[in-house]
Amino acid sequence: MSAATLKHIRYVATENPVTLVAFLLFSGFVLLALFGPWIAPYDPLASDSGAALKAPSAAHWFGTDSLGRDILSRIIVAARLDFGIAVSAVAASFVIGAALGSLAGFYGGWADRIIGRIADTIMAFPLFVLAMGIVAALGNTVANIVIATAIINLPFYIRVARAEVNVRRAAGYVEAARLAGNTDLRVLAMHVFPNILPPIMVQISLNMGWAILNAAGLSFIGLGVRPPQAEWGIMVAEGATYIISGEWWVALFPGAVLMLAVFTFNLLGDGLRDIMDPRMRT
Amino acid sequence: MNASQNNVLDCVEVKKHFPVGRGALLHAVDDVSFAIGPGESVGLVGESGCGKSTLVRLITRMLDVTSGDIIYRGRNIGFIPARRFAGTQFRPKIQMVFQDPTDSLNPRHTAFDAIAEPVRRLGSTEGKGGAKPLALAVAEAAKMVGLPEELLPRYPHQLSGGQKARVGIARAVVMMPDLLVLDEPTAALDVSVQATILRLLADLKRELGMSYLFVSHDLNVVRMLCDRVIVMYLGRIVEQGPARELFERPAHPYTRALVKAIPSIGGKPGEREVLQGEPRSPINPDPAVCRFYGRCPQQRDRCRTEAPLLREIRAGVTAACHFS
Amino acid sequence: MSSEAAGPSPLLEVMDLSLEFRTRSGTVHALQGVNLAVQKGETVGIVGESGSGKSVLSFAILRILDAAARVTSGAIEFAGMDMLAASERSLEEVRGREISMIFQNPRTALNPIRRIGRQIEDVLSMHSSTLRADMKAKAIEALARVRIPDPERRYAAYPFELSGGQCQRVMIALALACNPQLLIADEPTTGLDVTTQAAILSLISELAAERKMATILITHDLALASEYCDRIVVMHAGHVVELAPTSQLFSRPRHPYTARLIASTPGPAQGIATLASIPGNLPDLRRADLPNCRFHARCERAQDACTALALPNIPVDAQSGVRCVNPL
Repeated sequence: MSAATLKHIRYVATENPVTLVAFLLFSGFVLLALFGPWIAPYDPLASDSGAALKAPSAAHWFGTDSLGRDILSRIIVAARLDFGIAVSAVAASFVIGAALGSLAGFYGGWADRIIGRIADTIMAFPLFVLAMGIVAALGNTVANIVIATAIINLPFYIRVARAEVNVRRAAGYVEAARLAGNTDLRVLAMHVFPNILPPIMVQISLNMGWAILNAAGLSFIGLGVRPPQAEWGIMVAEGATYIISGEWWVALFPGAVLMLAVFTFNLLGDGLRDIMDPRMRT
Repeated sequence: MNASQNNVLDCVEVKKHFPVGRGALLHAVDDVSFAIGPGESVGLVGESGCGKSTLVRLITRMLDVTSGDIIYRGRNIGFIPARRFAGTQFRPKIQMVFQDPTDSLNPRHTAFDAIAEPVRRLGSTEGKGGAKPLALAVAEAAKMVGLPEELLPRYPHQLSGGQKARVGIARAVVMMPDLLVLDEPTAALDVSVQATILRLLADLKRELGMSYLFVSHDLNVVRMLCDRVIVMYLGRIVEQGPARELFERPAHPYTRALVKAIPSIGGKPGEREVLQGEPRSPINPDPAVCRFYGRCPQQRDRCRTEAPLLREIRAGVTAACHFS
Repeated sequence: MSSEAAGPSPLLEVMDLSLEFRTRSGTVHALQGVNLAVQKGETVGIVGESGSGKSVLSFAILRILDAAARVTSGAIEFAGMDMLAASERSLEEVRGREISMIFQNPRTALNPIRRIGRQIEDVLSMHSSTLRADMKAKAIEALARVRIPDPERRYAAYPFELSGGQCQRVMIALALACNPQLLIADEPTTGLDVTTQAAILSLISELAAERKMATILITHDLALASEYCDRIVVMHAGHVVELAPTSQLFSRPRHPYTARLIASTPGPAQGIATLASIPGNLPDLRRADLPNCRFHARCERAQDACTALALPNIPVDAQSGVRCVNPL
């Protein structure tokens, strides 16, 4: 990265303290995702019935769950799984959805109609139910959660890409690119698409938050992730039954971390867009 | 007008009609014929809606004609569909400078990228040879238009209006076109830089031996740069002639109104006749009625029953009016 | 610097106005020491290039500037009312009724989803005591007065159905609906064809003469200003650099910038070789150390005295004046 880029990043981070906080949190989560297993104080799968349902203490900062496993460790390790699911799903739907949407927005006509119908068909279903249906049909595995999430997320990117490309379709630089000898497809890919990335970056960030929530939601109802795997959603599900009996920490901490993760991505959206937009660079 | 091998461009009865629903056709360009010779600078003027933007897009092959021929140096390029034109040998020969330098430069590409793009896409094997020849070609083009080399790595938002205009010109001439279409090249610029850019354009034309099709609202600028002027109205040519003649002795009533409407320092607004009324509709126009009927200060009954054809009024000047 | 008393008290007086904008990249000193007086019924042209501050000045008069703007000194008085100290409520009474403005790009200045007849009625209902029953008739009358053909039918049209010239006429109708004393026209014909331009400006001139309305015409086109204005104010980088009655400005320009502008304006007598340009660029208005004369760096008559001496602004009651140490 050039010096100017770093300087710009520093500027964006310091300009708005909220963005800075979001960056720090995001970095924290990324660290957890990468190094979780080594950071975690206890083995997330090690059960110890003697230490079940212990409240937060010096030994177990977030307490233990019904099988005596350290909740903090499980939360840390779960970061990798949750992030992995979210990133894969968002990446897949971004790549496919943005490509389809761009073609629809640029060429119009039949491409637009067909792709529009695909998006409409997906959106006709209540999305979460559709995800459940897909997982149920394909099999109850983590990979299928990713696929299901990616599919229900497609219309989102198709729409954004289509709208952004449509706006830029008539710009002077598009005609100039044609005059310079680019075929229509090259104009779309090399000239228009890079310009729609800033607005899409914001969407991707918001989308990541939603994807994590979606994955957690599916696990909460028992799809995808199976015990004893550590995942925020399933941990909340496991802890839900204990709230009434007073062991609040089993559900609260995973839920709070989940909330924090979604929050972080939402805040990050604007900051990312500022970095990507060369007009903001002076 | 004979389509000769010599002429850089020949338009022969070019028509472009757009369907606008329920069988109606919008006659954007209707039966336009003219030629541009080598090294000639032809001005194209007319109000918005006259069809000059459509004509420009037809000539630069961004759009296909409904009928008629577009001939480049004796070769009919109108036959080549617009979407395939980019790959032909003719693409580098006809280029364009856009009106709004801000809108026509990709915000994510540096000035270098903008100028290099045609070389990368259209360059011959010598031009595409590698990084070095590319950098050389770009540097040369930048030098030709007076753009300092240190500005090449900059993005459009880091350049002034005049600098962006130069980038737009550099990228249009880097492949040494024969015909350069200029769409209001100084309209978006301050008057302080206008003269420099206009002089640059005049010099470039001489140095590179290009022909110009200069589209502009600003008739004073057209007068300065063009040998011949074509006046369009509602899709048709209403007058054509040497620039001086057109401004000093306009033959068509519309041209007369146009010339009188140009404000000048010390001019008196009271002397001009303001055109009343709105232009006729370009949708399914009645072929028997003069397009200017309804706004023309000299209209008579004949204008409503017989549309005038272009005819030679005096040496070199043609106009489409019964009473010129 | 000549200074003659102007006669009756002016309708609008801008006195020693200085204004800045706080932005991410620094404080932009947009206006400095601007003096301007407009008499009842006269047409004053403000000419200058982009960045000269002419639009900022007009927005300042109406107090419709961006939140980042700050008036650092000076006063604006309209018909005895202190515009800078006035409350938002009193300003709302003035805008549209006493002072109206028309903008560049008429199509975007109109509400695209509201019929034009309704938009005129909005102005009437807000600023006049027209009865509900009379609204439509008055609106159609307003359209007819700006020579929109077939006004009864056009009453129900949306802006996108009209041409650029027609949209501008509607804007004029909106602006004049309540008979303001002052009309500010900010580049009203930029982007319009030259024939439409002539029609619009002659319409504005006629209506202004009819109602004895003062007009401020802001434009970068000197030729246009020369044809339609009684007096011309030349601005450069936030300063008023010259002020004179029209014929005097063009026959005997005194500021080097004015002379250069005139020489850069294409005209019938010029060839491409004689057309002038102005070297250099506008100074960066964010600099803290801006010189007294902001044209200094680009001026061929620059002297040491230009930066050494304090440069007084043209007085507000002057009929003509120049802000220069070494005028022509």
